Amino acid sequence: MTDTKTAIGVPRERNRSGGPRRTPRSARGGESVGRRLSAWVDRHVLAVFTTPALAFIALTMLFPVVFTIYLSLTHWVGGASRAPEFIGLENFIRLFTDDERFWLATLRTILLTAGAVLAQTVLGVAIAVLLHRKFVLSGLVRSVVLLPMIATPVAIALVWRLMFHPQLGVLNDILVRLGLPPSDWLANPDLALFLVGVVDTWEWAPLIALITLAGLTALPEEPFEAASIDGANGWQKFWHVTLPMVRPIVVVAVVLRLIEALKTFDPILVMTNGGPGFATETLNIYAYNIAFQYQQLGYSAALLIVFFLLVLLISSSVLSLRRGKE
Amino acid sequence: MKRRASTKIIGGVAIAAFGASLLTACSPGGEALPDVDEISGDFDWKRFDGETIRFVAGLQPWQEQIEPLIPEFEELTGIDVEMEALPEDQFRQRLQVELTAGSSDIDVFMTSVQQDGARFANSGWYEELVPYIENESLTSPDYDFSDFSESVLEGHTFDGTLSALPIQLEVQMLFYRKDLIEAAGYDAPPATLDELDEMAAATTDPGNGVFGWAVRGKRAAAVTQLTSFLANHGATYMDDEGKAAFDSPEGIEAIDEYGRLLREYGPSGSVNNGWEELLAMFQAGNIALWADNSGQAAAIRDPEQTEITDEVGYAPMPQNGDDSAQTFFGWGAAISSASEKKPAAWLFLQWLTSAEVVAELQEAGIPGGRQSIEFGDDVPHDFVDAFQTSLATAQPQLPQVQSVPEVRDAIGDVLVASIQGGDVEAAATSAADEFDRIVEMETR
Repeated sequence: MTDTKTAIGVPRERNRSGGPRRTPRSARGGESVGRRLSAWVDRHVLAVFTTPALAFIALTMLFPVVFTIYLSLTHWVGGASRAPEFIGLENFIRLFTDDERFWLATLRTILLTAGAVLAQTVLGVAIAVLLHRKFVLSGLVRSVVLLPMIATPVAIALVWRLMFHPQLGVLNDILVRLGLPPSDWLANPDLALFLVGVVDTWEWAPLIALITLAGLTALPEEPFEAASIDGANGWQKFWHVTLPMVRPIVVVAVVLRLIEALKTFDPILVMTNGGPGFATETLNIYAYNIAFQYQQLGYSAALLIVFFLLVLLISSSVLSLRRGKE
Repeated sequence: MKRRASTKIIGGVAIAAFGASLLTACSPGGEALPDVDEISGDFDWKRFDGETIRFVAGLQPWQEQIEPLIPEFEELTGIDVEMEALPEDQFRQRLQVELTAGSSDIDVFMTSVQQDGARFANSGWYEELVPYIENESLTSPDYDFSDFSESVLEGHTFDGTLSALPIQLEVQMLFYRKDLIEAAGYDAPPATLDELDEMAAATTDPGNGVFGWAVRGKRAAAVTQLTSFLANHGATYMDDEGKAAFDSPEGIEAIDEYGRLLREYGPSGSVNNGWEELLAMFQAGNIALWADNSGQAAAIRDPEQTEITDEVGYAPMPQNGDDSAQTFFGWGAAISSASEKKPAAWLFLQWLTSAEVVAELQEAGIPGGRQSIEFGDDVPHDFVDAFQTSLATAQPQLPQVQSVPEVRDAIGDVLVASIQGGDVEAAATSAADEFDRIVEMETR
């Protein structure tokens, strides 16, 4: 059986490589290992090329997801030293019927994401259009605008936390010098979530600007010339020519940001740790608290699955919106 | 046929790769030391010469004092100690993540038994210490274990298992600025909460950046400080049946007062202040009266950190009636049950809790739980008096349940509402429901 296979495989290999045969004809009975291996690879080319990728996906994505789904159906306290106890859908029932903190966290996550991404999109596109023009030092300005995005998020969050500090922060210092009353900033529960959004916008508007700018640079000149000949003014050109042409790229940038914004974690953890009270506790922070402060790994897994579905729903509906318009 | 073969190969490779990843995850980094009952012979500090152990601690005045002493241990034993100290929040999180994962990287860790004891013991994260103490090959004849008070050891024992040893005892205490209260016309610290109210009002001076009163306001951190207010109003966290009791009329009064005092005389943005922020402000001279745990005294008395050292007085927490409003908190150190170097870890824990080290720290004003050790002559007398008076009648600062972090968050949220001037009664009622649900979950 094996012999027949090899016999068929060898000539095929010779034909494809086209090069001179290194093995003398006399050695054909006991073929070299390399040749047999290459013949084997040749026959299983599909499997050989897909296996590494499939194994990678199975190990790093499929296994964690399946394990998280399993965990969500258990009550697991104490980590590696204890076995999880199977409890069916109990975690999900508690999540939806008896957990106010979950609903508030969901609401905050959506508010923060919607507000921050909207602001980032408007600002990002505006910055991109501005940077698209040539002006003195435009190269330098382009680099400077991108700086917030390049710095380490945790370091940025620490600096903002200090700036917002009611007694030590520079922001209150400025307010007082201007003769205005100082603010509690992040210590004000009504303001804290908004400020987290402001910092997120400051940090990530450049990303949308960068992607949009790349799109703008690639636009053809002709439509603009045509618009000029038709007598369109600057705003009309922007609104009726630039924006429609660059929109598909902006949508991609928005989807990227949207997914990232839903998952925002480190800036919140560093700036407020979900406080004051629970005023900035988003789903990610809550899930983290449940898992690593309260040690309820099963309940946390259930929450993360609901969160995952939410991210999937939002991003796929934005994408289908784009497809619909095209 | 081809397809079936390729599926098999994919399956085989995936399983092999997965197996390999499991193996690497399980294989120990170094060679494990023998178990405690396999060790015999004379006691010898140098027994584990050349080993390295990892000690995880919170950044605290205790840790600041112990750090410069550690080279003495390294010289004594030849064991390298890798100390990792993080700010308290991060320390707790980091510790919990590593212990949850069953990591063998931690050998010795700081632990607060009121906060973590029942939960960590239930998860099996503490190594039982008695076999080490009783093994004469591992414990120095000078150790004198009986010097620890029985009631303190009892607090470190869960289900009959001694899980940690005390390294630092703390009581809630009032730190006050003698110069500022004198300027306001007082010659003694407040003895009751009403006097405190009055004195805080008299010393508040926004023009000079002085706040009359400060105490923690950050969600979970503040809860240890609320206990004395509850006691002052005759309230408790839970009743005899383990149900939430802080939503009683007395409890609500206490939480209300806690919030009102901070709102009226405290720094703005109090709801984000833990002891780290308040210590910095007190050291900078911005606070006249500050209630916090006595461990802060070491940092207040350090002339390299602050210029107000000589102006600070120490007093027990104000107490309205005859019933004690004094509270205590304790830090201990424990050996991780997942450690592979437990005997070496025990030598370090033994040294940390030895009479010499405890004496050296207590000299600096950090009491360690050994009865025979006295405070140093340099420690202010009012601090020693306040500490000893408080400790005599003190109750634990945290409710005695398993899910302490979770109930702390629930109660802390009521405090935040109170500091903000919100509806305390509504917040307390819903937090009490939450408390009962959490405690009920523990026993399922």
